[in-house]
Amino acid sequence: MFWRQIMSVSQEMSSDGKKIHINISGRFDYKVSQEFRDTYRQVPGQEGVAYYVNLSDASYMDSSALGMLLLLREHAKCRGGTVFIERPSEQVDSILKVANFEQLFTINYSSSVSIDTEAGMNAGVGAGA
Amino acid sequence: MSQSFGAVATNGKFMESRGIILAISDSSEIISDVDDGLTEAGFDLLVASDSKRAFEFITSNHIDYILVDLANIDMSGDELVRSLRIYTGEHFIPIIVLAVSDQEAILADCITSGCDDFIFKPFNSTALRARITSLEQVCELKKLYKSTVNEQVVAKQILSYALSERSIEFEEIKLLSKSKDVFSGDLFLTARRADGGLHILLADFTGHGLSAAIGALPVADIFSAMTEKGFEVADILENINNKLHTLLPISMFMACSILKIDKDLKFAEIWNGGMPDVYIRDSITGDIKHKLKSTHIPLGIDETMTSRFDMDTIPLSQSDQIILYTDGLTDAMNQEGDMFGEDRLEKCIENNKNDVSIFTSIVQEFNDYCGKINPVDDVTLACIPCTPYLTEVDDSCLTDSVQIASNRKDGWCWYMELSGSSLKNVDPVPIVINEAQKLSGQEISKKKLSSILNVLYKNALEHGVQIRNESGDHISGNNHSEMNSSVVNNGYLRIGLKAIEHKGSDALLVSLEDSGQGFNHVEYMNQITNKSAGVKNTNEGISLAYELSESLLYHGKGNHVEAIISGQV
Repeated sequence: MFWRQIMSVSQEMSSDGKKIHINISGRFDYKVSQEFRDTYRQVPGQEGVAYYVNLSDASYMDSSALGMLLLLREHAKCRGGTVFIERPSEQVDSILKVANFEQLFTINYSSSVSIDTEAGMNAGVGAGA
Repeated sequence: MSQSFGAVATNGKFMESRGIILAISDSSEIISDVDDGLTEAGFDLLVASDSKRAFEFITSNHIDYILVDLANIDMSGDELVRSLRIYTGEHFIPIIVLAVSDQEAILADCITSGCDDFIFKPFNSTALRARITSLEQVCELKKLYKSTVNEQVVAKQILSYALSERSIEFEEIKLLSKSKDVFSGDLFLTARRADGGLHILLADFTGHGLSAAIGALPVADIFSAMTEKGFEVADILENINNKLHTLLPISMFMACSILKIDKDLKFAEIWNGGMPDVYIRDSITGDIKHKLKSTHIPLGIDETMTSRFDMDTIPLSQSDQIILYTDGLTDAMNQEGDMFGEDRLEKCIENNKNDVSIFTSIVQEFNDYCGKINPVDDVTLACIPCTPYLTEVDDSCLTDSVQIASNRKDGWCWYMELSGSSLKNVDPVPIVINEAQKLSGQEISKKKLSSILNVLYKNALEHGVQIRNESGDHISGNNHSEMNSSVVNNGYLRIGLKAIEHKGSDALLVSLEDSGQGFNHVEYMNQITNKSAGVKNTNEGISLAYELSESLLYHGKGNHVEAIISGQV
């Protein structure tokens, strides 16, 4: 029997809307592309947003997940924003390394910014979070 | 009631038939119920009272649905259903079983044998019609799916044909390729360089299926056409990257490893962007000598950045093997959901040191591990032995310098000068070859001309326009992106072609002049011409150009060279 991992995508936004944390756990693959896109498309358009994609709980990532990161990068670029990849797990990091994505993204290996969300401001978009 | 055994009963109305139903039963009562329920709804009924007659109908008539009355037939229900499935073959014809509720065990057997639906007796005509209507929709979907797959199969044949035209096949190169869908997002190409060397490309597009395969054709086009025209790998990569950048949506890209194997099998130039490690294995010791990691981002993501297309140079020997694979191989999972993985692959190579061609061992290990599971991604594995077959000079190419009687007694000459940024961005070799071919009417072998021009151009860059490092590393080809623009700005390179007569036959005079400081050509030429001295040539390139041309002369301080190339082979 397969032990199926529960995958989930969740999102948190800072109170000023300038920071968006996207958290992915489980397998980061084509199945979550819609949810992933919703995390940044379904928020009011702002300039200069910093997107933090937390991959510390992601167990695997396929090439379409790399494609999703590129889409987010383009989305941010068009709006003067930046994308940070946060604490990729070992498995995911090896995939990022093969693709040499450190040439395209800033990858933080230690915990960085904490989010100043106010209760109630959290916008959760999730698939079974 | 149309109990007309053997003939198609008409439904008696001027409406299009919804399909022909074969009812297998020897009970006139059941047949009557079925008839009542279905002819009214627009179906035609065929009735077979025994299995023999049923099989006759199936082989001679078009049938859309089959009803099997379990209680009133001459053989066991599941056996009949199984045989019907064999008879109907690839065509999907739904089989509905009419059963009595206490026949559950038989019913279960029928379902495992391949029946699609069942209905308990006694049944009313509305229930029967509802079952058939829902199966009608299943049939539509199956038809739609089948035609889509058929279309893809045809499209794949066209694509495969187009790709095979753009790639050479070698018996020596062993290739495993499994695709998840009809189309594969993996691409393996080989192309012969004009100088006899080889270009090899293994690529993996994002995702799989049709959308992943669609980029293969433009890539194959650029790869084969540019290789043929004499371009270096760095230029080819730059072109593919630009093409894919404009062609593919943002979320799609192409990971690829590309190799240039020189004609003497002495070295390989390798570029790896987003692919797993490229292995160089010594087939005598069985060890992996080199692992070339991906050091670049895949193609199609970003516009060109200088120095992105720098190649790694690896020395080769003829016992070496190059192993290339896509991540579909290592990401493939076994029944427990564990991946095949890089460690298992490398262990397999290590454990089979005595296996000269490691290919079979890897495929065996892979199939043992996860052969039963359909791959989740496209899988490609290529083992390339560095045998002379790969780069053997194809005689047909040398002899195709057709002997045309010359009617150009008036002659011609052609000249180009590169300076400043054009020196940095333009590779003159393909342009010159192209012009020479146009003007001389293919009298001069392209292969010969290309080899000589490449050598002279490379030498001009090394000793003339000076873009190499001081150690004079000859290996890494003419990579323009490495040029130091401040030096280049004052430099120039002039290339001239002239149709001349040499020893009574038509020939081509090639002249290259550069702005550099030249080199000690007297010593070089002495080494080349005075073979008995036993001195190892320090510049094998020039020695090759010397052998291929009728005459090769350096002038002045070594920044001006003239070569006479004859049409004779």
